[in-house]
Amino acid sequence: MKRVWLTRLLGVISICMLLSTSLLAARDAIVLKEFAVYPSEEPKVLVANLRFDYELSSYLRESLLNGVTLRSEVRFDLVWYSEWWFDRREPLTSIVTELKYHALSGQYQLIQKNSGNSWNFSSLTAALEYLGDVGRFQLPPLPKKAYSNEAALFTEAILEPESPDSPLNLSYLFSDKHRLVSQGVLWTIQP
Amino acid sequence: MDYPALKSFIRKSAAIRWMPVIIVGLLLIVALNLLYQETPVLRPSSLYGGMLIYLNLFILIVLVSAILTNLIRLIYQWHTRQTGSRFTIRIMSGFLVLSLLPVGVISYFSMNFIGKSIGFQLDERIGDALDDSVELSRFSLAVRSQIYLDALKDLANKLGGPEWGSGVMNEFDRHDMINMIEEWRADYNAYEVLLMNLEAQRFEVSSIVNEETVAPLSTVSGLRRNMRGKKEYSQIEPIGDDSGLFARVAVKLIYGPDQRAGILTAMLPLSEYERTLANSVHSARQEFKNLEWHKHNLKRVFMYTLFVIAVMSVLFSLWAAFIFSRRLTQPVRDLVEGTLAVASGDLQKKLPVSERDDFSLVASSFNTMTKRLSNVQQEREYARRQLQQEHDYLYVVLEHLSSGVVTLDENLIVRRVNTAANQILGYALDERLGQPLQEAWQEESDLEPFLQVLQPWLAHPQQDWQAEVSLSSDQGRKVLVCRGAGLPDDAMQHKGYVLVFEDVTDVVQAEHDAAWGEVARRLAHEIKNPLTPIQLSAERLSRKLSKVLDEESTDFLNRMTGTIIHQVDTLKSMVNAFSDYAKAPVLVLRPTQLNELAREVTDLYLDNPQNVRLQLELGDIPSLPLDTHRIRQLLINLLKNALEAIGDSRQDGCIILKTEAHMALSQPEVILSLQDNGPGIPSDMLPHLFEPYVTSKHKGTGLGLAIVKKIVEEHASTLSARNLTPQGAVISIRFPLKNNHDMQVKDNGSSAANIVATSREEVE
Repeated sequence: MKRVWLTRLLGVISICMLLSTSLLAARDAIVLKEFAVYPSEEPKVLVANLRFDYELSSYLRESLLNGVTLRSEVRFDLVWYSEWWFDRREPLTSIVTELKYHALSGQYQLIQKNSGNSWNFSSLTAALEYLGDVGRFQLPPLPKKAYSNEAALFTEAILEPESPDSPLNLSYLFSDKHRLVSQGVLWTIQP
Repeated sequence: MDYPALKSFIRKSAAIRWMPVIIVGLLLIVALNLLYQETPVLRPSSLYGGMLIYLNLFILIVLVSAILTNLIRLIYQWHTRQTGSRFTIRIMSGFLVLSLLPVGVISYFSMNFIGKSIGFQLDERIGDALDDSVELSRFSLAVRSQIYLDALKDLANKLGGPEWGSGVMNEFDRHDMINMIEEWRADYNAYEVLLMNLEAQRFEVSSIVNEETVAPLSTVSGLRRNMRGKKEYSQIEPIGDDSGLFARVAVKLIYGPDQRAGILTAMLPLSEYERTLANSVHSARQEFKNLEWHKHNLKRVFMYTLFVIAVMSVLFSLWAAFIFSRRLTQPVRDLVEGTLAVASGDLQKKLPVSERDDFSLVASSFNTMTKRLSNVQQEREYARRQLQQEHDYLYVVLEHLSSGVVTLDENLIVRRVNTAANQILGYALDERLGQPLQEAWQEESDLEPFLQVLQPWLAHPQQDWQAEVSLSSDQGRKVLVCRGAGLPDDAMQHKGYVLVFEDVTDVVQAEHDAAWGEVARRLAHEIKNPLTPIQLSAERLSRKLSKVLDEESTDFLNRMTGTIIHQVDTLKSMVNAFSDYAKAPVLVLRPTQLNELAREVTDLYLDNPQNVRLQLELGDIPSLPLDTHRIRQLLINLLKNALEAIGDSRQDGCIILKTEAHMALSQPEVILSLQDNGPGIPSDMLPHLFEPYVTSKHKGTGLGLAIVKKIVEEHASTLSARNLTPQGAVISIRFPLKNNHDMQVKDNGSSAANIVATSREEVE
């Protein structure tokens, strides 16, 4: 009798996990199209070529037109795999870009927070295309431990709408549900 | 500082006691103030946002912990029925109702009001108006852009004019172009003017004020894309994130002598006034749209914030209510604790008196009460000690009284008996304490006469009473003078009685003996003196008249004078006996074997007219200091008295003379007893048996037993007489052993019991 209940319970848990996975997958609207990492001419410096396809939901598109800024972040983290404990992760660098709609000019504006550069686009498609194209991005020099402990480079892109600041960080309660996260890419660092 | 002192210090210091509440209250005020400052203005960056959540979380944890601690303590106090717990619960319930209800109502209406207010402020009409404003600004800027575009067209016409001729562009041509473009850029104050060769995909000429403002390749490609199918392009574009605006204009052209296709583009500034106005309208529209877009979320944020404020306020009120209620119930708890302490006997308990408290009057009254109670207790203790001293004093007095004292309560129950009473009565009356007097004495037959005499007084014990009682026992006869009286009522209005009796046997006996001695002496003196002349006269009369009278008369005379002489002799004997009785004792005490003396005297009466069998049961007794002559007389008197008592009443008369030693008693003694099986002593005579002239016989002086008694008393011994069942009587004489010499046991015996058994013999 107990075994039957245990089997049923495991079945229900499996179905719930499948449903949640499919729902999460459906929300994932940043698709990684290209990923390449190669060493540059300088020693121990990597260069990344990435291309993401951003497929915005209608809500995000409407948000842009209503003055909401979309914040994009391409993260480069160092990850050390652990079999018996949580993986250890250290941020290496990130590319933060804001996408906003300038109603006065009718332009979509991309502002890269790292460099302060900005670009104007007359269409959202062009802006997203430019946003997703990360070409020849030079990563910072890797620490020594990245070569000695079988570390890996983990990359993912996140796009989320910025919400108005509110006390007690309550805005996170409402902004998180529209967040877009790409698949992560794990690239093992060779010494 | 030890823990109680610290506790007392904290308790006394109101500032320290309320310090946690004040600190948390101040923190709460700061947190709510920051929350208030943060809430209405939605700024791009929050100065306190991160800190605020931690501050509120800290306060929340503190409040919840404090409330839970107080709640658990309150439940524990209620469960263990501690004082003040129910009062605290009632106060807490009142506080809950009084704080939760208004806060809930206010919060509910505030939330609704905030929702409506936000909806009202973000009205669609305002949004439309802002959109129109932006459109108006755009139109205005488009006019400016168009002017720039027309100017750029003029420049493009110059660059593509017929004056350039034909042929290949040389350096001179390029230099002329640069000069024209630079001149134009300077005229219009343009940031940059670029001439792009579409075929070669490069900049032909670039006139740039600042390198940073040059359009990136992406913009160039975008420009080409935007100009696809168009000959001209004008657009207002923002710069970076600093609200900068510029006009981008571009035209397609054919330039140079070799007629190259290209795009001439320029980035031109807008006037400060136009830019400020446009940015103002744009930022207002952006903020409004942003707020309108987040309208629902904004409402929820406000509601949650209000909810947090309400919860924090309620929790703080609840915690403060706990402390306040505890403070409020503290005097009651103190009072109950004080009452319990007093109930358990601690009269030194004092309650803290606070001048600012209404309970101070109760506390001070309580302290006064305990002080008075303490004084009363001290006085009572003092009185008790005095009473105990008096009791001890009375005890000592009673114990050293020669009179017996028995106290009775109102139910005639024996409450106190002194030692003299036990000794006088020969009965451990103190073992009968708590029993009614009659019941206690009925078990002792010797006390029956006493009880009979007491009956009238026991029937009416309130009246003072006095009587004389005579008791007979193995120890002899006792004469007691008794007095009964009522005692004063005690504190409980209980009556009591006291019975005092005194053994006056010796006094009475001494008076009696003295009286009889005096009588005997007078008798001896008054009677003995005339007897001799009477006897001599009778003899002379007989002698003289016998010569002159005839034979018959002489015979008669001789018989008469003979009778006179015989009676005079008898009188002489009697007078001698009285003389002996009255004679002052001159004892010659020597160690005497009483058994030998008894055997010797008994031998004298083995042959007696009554044929009474004499039996000796002589125990192993030590030698005693006795006057042999007087003791012999005592034995003779006893034997003669016993023989006369048996008389002719029976054929199997028997007299047993017994000696025995009682060494195990507290007062060792030797008992000499003489037992007969005669008719016994008449009961009415028994109390006066040893008094002179008390006899049941027709002959004799009546002084035999009186002399016996006198000899016994001369030897500081006691005697007693009692009847036996079914018949007979026994007279016992107790010789006390006073020293070791008296107690020396004869060498031929090891055990008193054995000696009695072996020496028993019958004397025919």
